[in-house]
Amino acid sequence: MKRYFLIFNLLLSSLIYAQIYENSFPEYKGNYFGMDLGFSSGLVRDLLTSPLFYTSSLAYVDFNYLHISEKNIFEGKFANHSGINSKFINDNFYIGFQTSFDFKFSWLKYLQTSSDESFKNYLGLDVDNYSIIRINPEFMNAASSIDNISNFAIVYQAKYNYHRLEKEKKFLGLIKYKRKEKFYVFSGKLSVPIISMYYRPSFTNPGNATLIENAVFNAYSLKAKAFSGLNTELAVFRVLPNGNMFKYAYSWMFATNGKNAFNRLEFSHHIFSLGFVFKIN
Amino acid sequence: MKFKIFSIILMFIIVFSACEKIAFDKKAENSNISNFNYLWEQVNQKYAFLEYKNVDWDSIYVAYRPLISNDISEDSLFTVMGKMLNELKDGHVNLISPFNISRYDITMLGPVNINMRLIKENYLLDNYYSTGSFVHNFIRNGDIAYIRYSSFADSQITDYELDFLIEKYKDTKGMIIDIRQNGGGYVTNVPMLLSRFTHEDTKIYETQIKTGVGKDNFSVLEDVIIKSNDKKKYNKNLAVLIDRGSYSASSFFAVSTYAYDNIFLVGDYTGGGLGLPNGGQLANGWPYRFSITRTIAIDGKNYENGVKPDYYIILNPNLNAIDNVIEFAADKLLENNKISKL
Repeated sequence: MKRYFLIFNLLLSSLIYAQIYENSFPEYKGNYFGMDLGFSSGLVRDLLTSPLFYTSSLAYVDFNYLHISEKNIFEGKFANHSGINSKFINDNFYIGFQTSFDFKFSWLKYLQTSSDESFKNYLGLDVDNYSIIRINPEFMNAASSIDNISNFAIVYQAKYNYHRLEKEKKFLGLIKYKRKEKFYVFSGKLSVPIISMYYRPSFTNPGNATLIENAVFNAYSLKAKAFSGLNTELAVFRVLPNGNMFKYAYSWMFATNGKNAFNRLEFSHHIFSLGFVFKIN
Repeated sequence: MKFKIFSIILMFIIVFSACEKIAFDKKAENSNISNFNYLWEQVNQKYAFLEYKNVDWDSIYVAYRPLISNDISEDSLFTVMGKMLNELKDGHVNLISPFNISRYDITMLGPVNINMRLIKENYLLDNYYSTGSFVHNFIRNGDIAYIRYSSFADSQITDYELDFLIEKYKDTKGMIIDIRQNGGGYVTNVPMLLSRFTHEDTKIYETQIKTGVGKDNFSVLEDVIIKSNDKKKYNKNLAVLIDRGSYSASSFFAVSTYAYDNIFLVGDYTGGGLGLPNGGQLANGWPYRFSITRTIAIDGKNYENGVKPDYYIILNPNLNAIDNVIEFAADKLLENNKISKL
């Protein structure tokens, strides 16, 4: 316990003594290629086949391109979640499989009036297309299910540049050591889908039993839903002197096509990821 | 000041991230009564044949609901719900618990119309071939090809297997495919097989899916067409042997033959099963399934209760070493290759 207390104090002191020198922050603009790997957990329920919430345990990977300029940020991202959905109930274990693909494009405009060198605000738009393929052997001929969701969202992002200076310090007041200079960007992002288009089975799920695709997609409908979910992202970028970055992120995505929808689909993913962002130029 | 603003924004995002429990609808109730009601309602809204089968589902509720209370055992709950589902008289309807599976045994609706021992000893003989899921041999001094296809579920038929069969029997005067007691499987095997008996695009049936709560809420009828291809064809007539045990994909195969002038059905009615099942799950975890599509044959009729044979022939168990269903089919095929369908 004492050890934890000391470590906590050490961390706290490093924050307290840190000073911000806005002009010395490395240039944080240009073109970047990034890759994130992580783990996602959450809940999913498709009322067309089950009233039960399944727990998702998914591996997460994304590849992204980032262009940062003085006035704008553009991001293109392809992400994949794959893994299992499971449910333990009445001493029985039920399991399904899921893979989903997310194509997302974001454009954010720098809000100069409410920003400065260290604290930057952005406002912009997200367009993304999210496809989910779920296979639940318990549902036999309806084992497979394909859903597609397209979102048009408003995005707000805040960034805070934090420069931790090099400093001579003493560990427990005894051992001298030099704390390295580090640069961080803290980022918070909130994306609110204004309009979402849900393309999914509307009443019954014919699954994989049918002979012709048309029969399957006759059972699908495309329905619009306003404010159908929320996406958040909290990230810390450690900016290296060469412009490359490490990224530590937590993001949350939540979506539902409505409490009153007959074909209600609800899911939520908490994604913890570690990323590498390479500066291209 | 800026840092404070940023912290507030972060807090705002974190709080949002934790609000999924509010946004999600509440968890489903999991009691005997709620599970019974849920299953009854699912069938009431989605089952494709309540009207066709003239089932008064409301009266079924009245009959079975008093048997359910939250105190009865899982076994009792399962028994009552299984019996309720069996009122639909549908082999595609099941309830699955960890300790039992409810089913409606469609094969019991008709007499046993096949004796495999008899077929092995007197038709397939010792030198029969086994190609994929097909076992086959020549009968009637090499004039007729006899192919026993016992399950659509064993594997996906391959072009290699069909090429082999057609090449082997190309000089015969007719072919018999025996799907008696074939309980179905991959429905994709149906067009695969039938495409070898036609040179042109053939509409084999129409299908539609339940799209709403109303008894008549179905999607538009969608044509199911077998596309012509340039693969090897069998150009003679084909007899398909069926019985009550020919179910699901076998019934699809049988009903599709109505579209062909060179194919005829011999035997008993099939078991039906022309509705494709939709799976689901109760709040206690038990999966279930029932039919949510219906199939309309090219004559405009629904054969969910069984596809009618062109020649109704029941196996006579008193005949020694003779399968009179096969014999009838072979005779018809040899009658100058002329088919007069019913």
